[in-house]
Amino acid sequence: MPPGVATLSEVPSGLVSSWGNLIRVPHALYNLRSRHDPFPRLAPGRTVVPYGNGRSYGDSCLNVGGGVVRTRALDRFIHFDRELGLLSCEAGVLLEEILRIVVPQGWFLPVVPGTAQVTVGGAIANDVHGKNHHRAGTFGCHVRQFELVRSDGTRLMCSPLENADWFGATIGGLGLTGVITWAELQLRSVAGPRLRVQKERFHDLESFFALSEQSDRDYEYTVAWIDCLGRGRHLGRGVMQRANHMRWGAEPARERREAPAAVRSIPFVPPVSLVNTASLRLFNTAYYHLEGRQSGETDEDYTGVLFPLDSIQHWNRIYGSRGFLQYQCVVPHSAARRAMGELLESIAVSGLGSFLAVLKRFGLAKSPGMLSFPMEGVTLALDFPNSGDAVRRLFDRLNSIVSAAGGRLYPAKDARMPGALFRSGYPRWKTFIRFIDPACSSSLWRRVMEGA
Amino acid sequence: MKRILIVGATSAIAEATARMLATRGHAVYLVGRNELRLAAVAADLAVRGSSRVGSEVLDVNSYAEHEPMLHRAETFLGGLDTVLIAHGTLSDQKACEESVELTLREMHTNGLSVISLLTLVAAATTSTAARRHS
Repeated sequence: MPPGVATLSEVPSGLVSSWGNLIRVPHALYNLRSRHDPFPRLAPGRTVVPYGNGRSYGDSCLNVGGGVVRTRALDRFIHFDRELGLLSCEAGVLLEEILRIVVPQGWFLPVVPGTAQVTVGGAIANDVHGKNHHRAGTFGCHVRQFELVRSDGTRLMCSPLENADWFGATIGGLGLTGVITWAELQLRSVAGPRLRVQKERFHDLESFFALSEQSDRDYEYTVAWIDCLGRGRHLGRGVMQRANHMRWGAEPARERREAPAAVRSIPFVPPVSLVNTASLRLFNTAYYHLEGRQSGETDEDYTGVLFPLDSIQHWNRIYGSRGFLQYQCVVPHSAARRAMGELLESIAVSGLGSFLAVLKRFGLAKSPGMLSFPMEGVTLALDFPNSGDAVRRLFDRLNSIVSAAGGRLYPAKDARMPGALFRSGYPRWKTFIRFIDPACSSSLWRRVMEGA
Repeated sequence: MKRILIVGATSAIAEATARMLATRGHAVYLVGRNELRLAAVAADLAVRGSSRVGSEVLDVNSYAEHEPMLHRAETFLGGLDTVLIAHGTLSDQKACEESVELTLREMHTNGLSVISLLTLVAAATTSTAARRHS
């Protein structure tokens, strides 16, 4: 054996899990320490998937039987143009770390998902979206360029102009086209860290659609929290949260952000899920009645509004040792009213849902990735404790509603979708296949390719 | 604002410390062996808020270079307030037992080079302090 080539037994292995805590499985662990590192040398036939901060819910960041390339140590900033708001950094930098540096200087990420605990590489590979999709599109819309490192040693600079096909395959490409080492992002300017927030209660699904359309005109961030136990005339009742960045002059400019609120933590995994029908009914009813109470505006720090769960570390542990599943789908507008009604009714009847469901209208912006999830339509997301067969039966039912409506599921949140549903929802998968690195694979990818 | 020299700046502990210093706006001069990695750390610290970032490539086992390096650092920073020496290797005990050459090299890298640097730093900072006093 030539020196420098590690045998398989020499590659350290360790337990890897995703945010849903469904499984913890040994993987071969490869670590990148610098953006200049080469693609790890693998034994023939061995595959890897890039692993950032492990915030994908299901198995898109797992590669059972293979390995992961950990990118979290690629956490260096490269350049920040404070005049133009252009930031380059390595792919393992967390969105939280970016905001901590750029917000005091009057800049903000143009798109953030519901947690800031994701890496830049992960945000690109899943083409994440946020509460301002109707204004800003997806994360990938604001990526100017990135470097993609392939297992054959090539390093490709990808942008809308250079290697545009690789750019489109890698945005939303689930880490299958190679490893992203660094990226350049276009930021947007803000006056400071605060948002002006307004909440409005709505009584049923029909009022959601009306309120949503109106809110999207006046607010940058809009999202609705739905009581997923509401049935009959309560079906689809909830609270619409709407917010805008505060304008210049509305607060002292360039103020330093106050120390963040103390971080709380779920210190251990309870043996059973603390989320059950009884706790759920109590919480949802209380939330609906309390949150929608005042219709006035409040000024709040962006963290609490955009990342409400980030203040509780390991909140995923609340679902116990069997973990949890998230279901997020999008259906086109034409079918949205009917499909959302059917989905919410099925979930309410099952009584299996978690605290709150999230409902949001996606805007017209075209997603830049071949496999990007967002499309014009309405998206619904909610968590389910992993109750085994019962939740599987419910998912089958939900899948058939989504499929009939011409919708699709979000791979970053998924651990169960059947291959046929993936392939009908993402018709460009056949083009995408040509861009997959032969050394890359994931548990999700093998699952959705079954029977293809 | 402090003026800080960091030797072995690409080591994990030095890099983590340097990030904290950069966030507070301190000026730093970074010394390390690997040019690419050193440049990556320097760029990172500049974005994080360091008021001034300089760097140079140096193998600490080149003792003759210690004094000129210190001089360049002092010139770049306009004086020196703090020095962090963080370079070193994780020696392989077994291999050292079997090789005199390796043992001596490890002692140079992890022991003697530090003594050399500290001696020069002590002299430099004492004279700075004396100048400031008078």
